Amino acid sequence: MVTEKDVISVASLADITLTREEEALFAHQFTTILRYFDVLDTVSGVEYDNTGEVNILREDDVQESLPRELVLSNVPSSEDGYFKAPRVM
Amino acid sequence: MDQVFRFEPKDRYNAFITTRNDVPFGEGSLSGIPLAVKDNISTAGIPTTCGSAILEGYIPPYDAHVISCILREGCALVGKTNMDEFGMGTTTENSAFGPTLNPADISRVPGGSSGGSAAAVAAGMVPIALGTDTGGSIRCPSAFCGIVGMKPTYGRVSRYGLVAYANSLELIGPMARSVQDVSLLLKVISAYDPRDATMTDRPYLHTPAAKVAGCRIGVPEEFFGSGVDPKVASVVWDAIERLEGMGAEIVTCRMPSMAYALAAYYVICMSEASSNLARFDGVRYGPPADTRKTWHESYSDRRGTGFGAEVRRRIMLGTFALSSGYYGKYYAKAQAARQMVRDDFQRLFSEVDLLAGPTMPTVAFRLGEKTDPLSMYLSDILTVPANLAGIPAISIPCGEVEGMPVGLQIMGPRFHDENVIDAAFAYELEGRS
Repeated sequence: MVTEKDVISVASLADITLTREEEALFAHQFTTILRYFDVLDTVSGVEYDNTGEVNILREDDVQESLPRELVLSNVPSSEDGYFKAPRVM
Repeated sequence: MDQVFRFEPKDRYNAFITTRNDVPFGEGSLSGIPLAVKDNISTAGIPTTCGSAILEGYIPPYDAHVISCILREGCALVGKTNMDEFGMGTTTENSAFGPTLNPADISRVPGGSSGGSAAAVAAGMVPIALGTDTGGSIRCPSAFCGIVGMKPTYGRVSRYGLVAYANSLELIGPMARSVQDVSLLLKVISAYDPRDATMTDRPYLHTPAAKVAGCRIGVPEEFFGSGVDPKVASVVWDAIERLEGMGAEIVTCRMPSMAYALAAYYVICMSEASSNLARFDGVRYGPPADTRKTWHESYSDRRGTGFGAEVRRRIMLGTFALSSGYYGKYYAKAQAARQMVRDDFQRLFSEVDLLAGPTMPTVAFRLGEKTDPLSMYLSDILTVPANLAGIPAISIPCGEVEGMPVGLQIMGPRFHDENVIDAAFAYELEGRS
């Protein structure tokens, strides 16, 4: 059973605001969905097998990148060639 | 590029988000062919919205690898198609640009999430289109609209420039009215690209040959489980019997991991989405964040208003599944279940060459019919296994139920896209009559 309090707590973790109506609706929907996911509790005796899988990493060498003006072309707010972001603290 | 294609579609189905009228094209194997692209694939200079308000006004500064491929072959890129926001949906109703309608019946959905591409092809507005498939998003709308659509083997098409939703599951693939056109487009987009680290240099260079005689085709009982509409099941069984009539050997088999596949798929795709969609912060693109507020407040507000309900549900459930105390219960178990699905396919493909069954358990839903999220998720049960295992799967039209198209799904082992195409081509040539 997922409560509205649980929904508010996850919304805060996920950095998403919800309306009051959504808090109640999501609590109800999450309860139904998580109940369906409970079938995974019966999975046993199987481990994820990643044998044969290898990381293929490129050398960390400098490659050509997009010009700064192109990167900033979609930026809603910039200053002196930098992204302008809200203050963190 | 000196030639121009004039594109003036009557888009009665809301298939497109963006269209271009005078479209330049060049020489090549797709010279002058109008091609539509799902709106989560980056196109330099052409808006790319992912069906979301959070990317309003965004114009990518670069092309996805597949876009470079199709332009190099001379196609006319006529527009960007409607989709469920970020690919999250089975109906194309979860779009900030309104729902797409099914050309076969405008009171019904086209399926999703590549519903705009499917409708554009089915309505004859374009002969070929690109879609993306994370859990069935090419095959579902192909089945619902009565066209051919394929999810290639994971690693066979570069995801560079595809706006990420669930990296370990999703792939770009071709949609068309014939198997030959699907094959032609796959040939163009499978060119090797080192910018996608999960890509392998095994380009698809095949020309379809109608070949199904002597082929062993497995039919897992679970593909005709209780959720499958008996009328759809009957049409698909008829199609499988026609394959048998053409010389294929039909073998019934079991796939026990089907009991876990859907839950595993949703836990994994939501978890990956919660991480991938963190980038939409209102700082680098899209409508601006409020810089007078703190980061946390501004970011939460931007995402609260910019994302639709289904996207927020998936991000939150993914955040929950990865959170401390629940990781073992959900994410770790989902990965174990994913391994069971892989193991099942490996065992089955040691006994048979291909697998067949319905693409979707029902025909297209009516608009507004699926209001409960879980009931919408359940309709993906037959398409998600191929994504969990990374195997190739195609949907081809195989008949109708009450005037609505039904899709036959054929799957093969990893990197056997050629065999899947050949069987589908054989069915298309001989089986449909």
